[in-house]
Amino acid sequence: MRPRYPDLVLVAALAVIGAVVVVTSLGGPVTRLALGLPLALVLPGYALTAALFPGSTLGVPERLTVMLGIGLASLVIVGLVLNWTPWGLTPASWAVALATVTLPATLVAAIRRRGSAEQRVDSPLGGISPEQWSTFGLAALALTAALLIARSGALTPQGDGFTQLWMLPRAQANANQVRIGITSRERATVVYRLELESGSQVQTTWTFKLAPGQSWQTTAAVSPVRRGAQTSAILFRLDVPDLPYRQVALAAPIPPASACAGGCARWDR
Amino acid sequence: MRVDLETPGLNLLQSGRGLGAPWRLRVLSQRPASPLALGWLAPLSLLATTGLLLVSLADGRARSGQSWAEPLFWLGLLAIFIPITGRLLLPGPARLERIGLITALGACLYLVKVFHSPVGFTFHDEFVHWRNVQNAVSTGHLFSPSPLLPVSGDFPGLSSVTAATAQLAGIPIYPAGLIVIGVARLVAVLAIYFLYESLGGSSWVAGIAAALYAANPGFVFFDAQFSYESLALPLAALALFALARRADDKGRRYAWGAVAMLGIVAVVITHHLTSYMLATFLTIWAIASLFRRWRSPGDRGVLVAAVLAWLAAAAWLIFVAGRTVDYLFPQVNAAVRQVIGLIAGETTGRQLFHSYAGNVSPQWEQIVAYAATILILLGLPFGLFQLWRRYRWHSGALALAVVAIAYPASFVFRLTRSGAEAANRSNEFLFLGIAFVLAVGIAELWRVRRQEWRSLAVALTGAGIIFVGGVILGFAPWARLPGPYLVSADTRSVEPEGITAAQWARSSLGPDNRIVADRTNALLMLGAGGQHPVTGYATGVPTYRVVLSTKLALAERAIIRQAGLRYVVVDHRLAWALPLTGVYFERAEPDAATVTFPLDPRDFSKFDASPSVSRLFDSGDIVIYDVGGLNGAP
Repeated sequence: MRPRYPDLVLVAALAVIGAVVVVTSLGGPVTRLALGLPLALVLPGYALTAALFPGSTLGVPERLTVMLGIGLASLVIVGLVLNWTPWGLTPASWAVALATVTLPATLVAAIRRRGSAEQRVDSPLGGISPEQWSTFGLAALALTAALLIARSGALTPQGDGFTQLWMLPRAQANANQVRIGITSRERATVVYRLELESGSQVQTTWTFKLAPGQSWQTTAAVSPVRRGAQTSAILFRLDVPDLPYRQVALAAPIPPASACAGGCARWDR
Repeated sequence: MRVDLETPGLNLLQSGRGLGAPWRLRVLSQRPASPLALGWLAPLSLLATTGLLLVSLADGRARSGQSWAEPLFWLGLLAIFIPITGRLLLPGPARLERIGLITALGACLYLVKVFHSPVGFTFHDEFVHWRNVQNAVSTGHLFSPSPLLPVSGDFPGLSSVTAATAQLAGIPIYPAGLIVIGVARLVAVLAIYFLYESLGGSSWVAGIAAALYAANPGFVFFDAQFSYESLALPLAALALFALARRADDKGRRYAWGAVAMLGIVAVVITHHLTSYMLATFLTIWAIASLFRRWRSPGDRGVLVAAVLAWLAAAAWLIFVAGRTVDYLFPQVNAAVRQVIGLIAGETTGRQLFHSYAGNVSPQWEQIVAYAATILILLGLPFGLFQLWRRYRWHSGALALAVVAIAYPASFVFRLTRSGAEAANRSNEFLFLGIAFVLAVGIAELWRVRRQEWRSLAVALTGAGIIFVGGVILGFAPWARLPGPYLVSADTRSVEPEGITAAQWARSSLGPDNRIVADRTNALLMLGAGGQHPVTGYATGVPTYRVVLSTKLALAERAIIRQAGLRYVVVDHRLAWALPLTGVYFERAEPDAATVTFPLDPRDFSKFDASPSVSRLFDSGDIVIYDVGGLNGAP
């Protein structure tokens, strides 16, 4: 048997299914998107509009405006209410709250529709000729092309590349170690030489090659340095071997191991 | 084509709405269009999307520094605006076609902004709101204070809607934000169209007015960004449309009233300025009704709405968002003082079309911007006269006329530094009235002249100039298109080196470290880095001095301790040029807006010379220092 108000039944069903999918994390990202997005931006607004304006006397464009508008407004207000609950704003609390708004509103809409005169609404889509459909299709193609061009343009690296060098004290119990990392965002593969100095003495040297987007990391033990001296890492590009390309330095002193018997300040954060 | 009384394409009675417009036009030589006919909607949508294609090509060329980007950009914008507006200026098209055209116009102009930065947020305010939504999602609660713009945390409407969208759809905040503002844009253009239609009683006048509203300087970029005003404006338009429709729709007065109340409450929660503007407009509307001795049954509803808007805004201000006063009052105060100083001859006005870095807008842009302003000023008296003749029976239309009259007054503010921003921010509100008044004038001209193509050419040229002038006035030349890095230029300063530095800070240093950084890196560290930039504006401690001073002396060390700073971000590119936004860090810095020399790069080396400071990160231009050693941090 065909339901009397198929649109309201569909909205109620989608609200329940959407809430279940969000709360239980069933399905993949596509399912979540397909059901979660309408639950946020369409279903509460549709149900509230149907409850406020029973029957079909409101034109399609006005209905669309009110639906989207009070959908946004209800999210503002529901968010405020959720903020004051112990659950706060979580996917589950949103799903339950919006389903709670949508279901009673569809019920009210169904009750109010029974009492209102049925009126036919001319669907604006009915009057579109095949030529107009094909022109709309071309417009959609142009829009897609514009979007792809804009996106690929924004993702294409522009200008000179750069290399990131960083050094952090190791956040472990062993305070005499440092973590060093390099990420290349150059436009081409670069051969690097990295020198680790403690005080002013070169302790270790590494030579390696990184393609654009590649990273290199290591953990190295460093000798204790006197107070005021630094532990430095200096990066060179082998195509310009004499000029330091990047440089980092840790100022905090690494105390001699013997001095730690009574407890040392660590670099850990 | 002869224009006379009543045509189905124009008259709302034909679409079953029965608004009782005082004047109805009819195009006698044209076969009456069905209210549902889509007419030229499909080909004009194709033209508009072709315009978008040109804009995206322009963006691409601008990014790689190629020529012809600017002409392509303007050609694309005109391909979107001119054909649709031209069609809307004609009296013939059916109502549904007009609604479709105005929707296409609003959506395409929104996408111009989206294509400007299609993979992430790049506008100044967007970073602030991005972080607010991150906080809402991560803590599950609203009202987290925003380090850079504390007042934004007190108006959590946008955070709430975006968090719901992101959390329910399982998508990141950036696409969720695009979808939310896109939906809001649809609501805005449709609600504004229906508002004009309700007040003007004509889909023709409504279409012209809605197209002219899209010519306001904030429409293409400012009100399309991910910001609380971009959501609040559409909600305010929805409330106004519902109130206007309530007056005519006897059977559903309570329903429209409920929509208006929902809209008003949502606006109050979402944005301070929009809520005050909405309450002010409703008050003007109610006063206009009073003068008409409450002749319309909807008038009392407007008074109730005005009272509710003021009560809700006042309650929110007193109980939730008290710091709004500290945010808005100094700006208004500075603007008024500068205007008084200007009138008294004590100060000189700012140089129009000159950036803070000394760049001058191209001459053609200056000419078009002046022409647009002059056209509006010339059109207003005629439109106001016609509005008085035709619409003085409608209090809502009178209220729009009052708003339009405020436009010339805003010019005095444009001549001052502080007032210019206030005047710019008022455009989206003032244009609500300006667009309607001009549309009434254009329709009347059309009716009188009865020479279709000549009238169309004149009106379309005028509308085109107002639109182009609006874009010129609304967004600086260097910001309209993406492109290579510029110093302290908001959207033009957001580039991969800064973004990846901020991402490194989040992953390696952890979130919420107290840092000091220049204007751009502070935004990046806030949004992409999850850090806590400390500014003089928010804390009263002049943290910018730590970077700007020549040495790390006792005073600077005291600031580091007082502000609890842990990291300092130094961007060596700041020494390349003067800041285009007028400041390197914030407005309180020395020589803000009047800076004449770029920073001295030698001032940055003081951190390397300090034995207590660690240089943790180096990407060439950006260096991050750990100043915890000066702050007693472990």
